Amino acid sequence: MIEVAGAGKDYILNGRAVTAFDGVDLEVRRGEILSVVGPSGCGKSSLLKAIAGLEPLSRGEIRFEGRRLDGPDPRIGVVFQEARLLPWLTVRENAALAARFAAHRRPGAAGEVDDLLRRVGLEAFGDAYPSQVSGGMAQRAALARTLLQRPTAILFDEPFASLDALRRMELQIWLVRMLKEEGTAALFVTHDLDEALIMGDRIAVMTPRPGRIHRIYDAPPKDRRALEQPETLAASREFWELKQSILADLRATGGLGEAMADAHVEP
Amino acid sequence: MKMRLSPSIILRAGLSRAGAPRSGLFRTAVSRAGEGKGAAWAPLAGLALALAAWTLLTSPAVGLNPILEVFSPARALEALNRVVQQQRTWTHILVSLRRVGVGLAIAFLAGVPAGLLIGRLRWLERASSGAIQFVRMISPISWMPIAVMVLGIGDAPIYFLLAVSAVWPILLSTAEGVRRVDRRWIEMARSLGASSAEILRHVVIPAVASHVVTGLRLGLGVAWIVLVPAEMLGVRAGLGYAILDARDRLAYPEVMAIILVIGFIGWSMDALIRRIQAQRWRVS
Ligand SMILES: Nc1ncnc2c1ncn2[C@@H]1O[C@H](COP(=O)(O)OP(=O)(O)OP(=O)(O)O)[C@@H](O)[C@H]1O
Ligand SMILES: [Mg+2]
Repeated sequence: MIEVAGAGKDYILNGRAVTAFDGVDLEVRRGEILSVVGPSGCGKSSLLKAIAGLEPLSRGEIRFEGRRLDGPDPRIGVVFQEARLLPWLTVRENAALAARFAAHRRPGAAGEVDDLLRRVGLEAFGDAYPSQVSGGMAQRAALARTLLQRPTAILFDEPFASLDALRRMELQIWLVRMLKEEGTAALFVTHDLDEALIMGDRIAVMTPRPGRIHRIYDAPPKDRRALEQPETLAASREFWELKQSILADLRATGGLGEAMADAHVEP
Repeated sequence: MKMRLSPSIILRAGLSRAGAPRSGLFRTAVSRAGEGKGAAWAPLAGLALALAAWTLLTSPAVGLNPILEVFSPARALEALNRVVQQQRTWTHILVSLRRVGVGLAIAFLAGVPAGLLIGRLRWLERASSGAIQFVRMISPISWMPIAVMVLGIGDAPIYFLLAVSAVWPILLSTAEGVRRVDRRWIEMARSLGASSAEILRHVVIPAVASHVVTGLRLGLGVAWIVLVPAEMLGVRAGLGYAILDARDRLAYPEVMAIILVIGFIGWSMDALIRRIQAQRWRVS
């Protein structure tokens, strides 16, 4: 569905070219969740922005449904690390933002917003302002905003990084279920290995900058039961082994820096 | 919601405000709010204290200067009661308000576009900031002789002086607003498929608007202050003129009464804009 071929991105920083990622080949299949892990600064966000059409590639190309992408596509949603709600709009108005843009104007779009807020559990907070809701709620409002554009794929850039561990796990499970119910594909960037494993159908491991795709793993299949009890999922042998392999990859490529140090210590 | 401020709530509040820097400023605001418990009576106490000081300074018992007695709170309030019942007082107020309105409108029409440009164009900002900072520090009243020479006597030079005093805060605040538009909001809007025109209309302009209103509020404050001396030169109506007129009639308590009127109107207008701002843009 989304194909990245030979993609590379250079930034000019203080007159010097810095290659964020290079030679990236990647496919997000219809309806799947593809987690992308890699050390800090390996170009995960840059890759995501390129796919979102927010930053042009320096090399290679990105195709969506077989067509070359060169700019934001209304069928691809983006959820950033920060909720990016507009502080002068209420939660409901923020969620309805897309309907103000010609790309998503359609009869009844505004009416769908209340339904979306209910789906993300914010029906009681539609009239609240962003400053009045918690980080997790803001992030769910951002997701509702993205859902209004009826995306067939959503790109997530560490959407739960600023939440506490408990909240994060709750939202991870909730989000996987929701994406699966909708059949929405997702590219899920994170540098939390557990998150990558809980969320992903497949996990792509990137090397340090300039980031390349080192290897892509299939995650153990998750049935509904496993998702209802993520602790058991995380404690399973398959889960643990996969995590060790990914850690070994990161170590071998020199990507096991401080960002991954916490994942390193294991029972 | 409970009023307890746990660190996690503070942190989350900081994070959920998209783009709000978790800077010292934010932390100060939080700790100040914590200190201010039960401080509702503080403004009243401050007012009472000011009134007490006023009473003492003008009291013959203290004996600073016996002439000061005519400016005492008791005499002033008595005069105020009389003054507000006079038709001409209201005429003065309306004339002054009209002048401030016109002056502010001119400052707005000049300051907002200039501020948008300066906030947007780095080279223009660099080229103009020296000159702006220089001119800004000149008291608008200094322009009076020139204004009268060019525009003659009457309302025109007053409009000019008020506009000159209010334009800087409006201009600088607008430019600041443009600079502060969070680029991440623009990126977010682009990801939702917004065109440049839609981004301008739905993201940039609303984001800058609260800063423009802040500029207007500051501009109004300066204009209201400059108004009184400006109206002391060559016009026959307005609150500034009313002070001179009362003095010439040796109605000293009335001078004090008009000073109170000036303070009260200025304070009310400022409070009104603050309220609109707090409701419309969630800033306090
Ligand atoms: N706009 C930019 N201008 C210049 N350099 C940039 C820009 N954006 C990213 N970079 C550089 O590109 C590299 C990759 O950055 P990127 O944000 O994509 O990494 P990341 O994998 O998302 O890191 P993190 O895990 O910390 O979020 C970094 O070296 C960064 O400094
Ligand atoms: Mg990143």
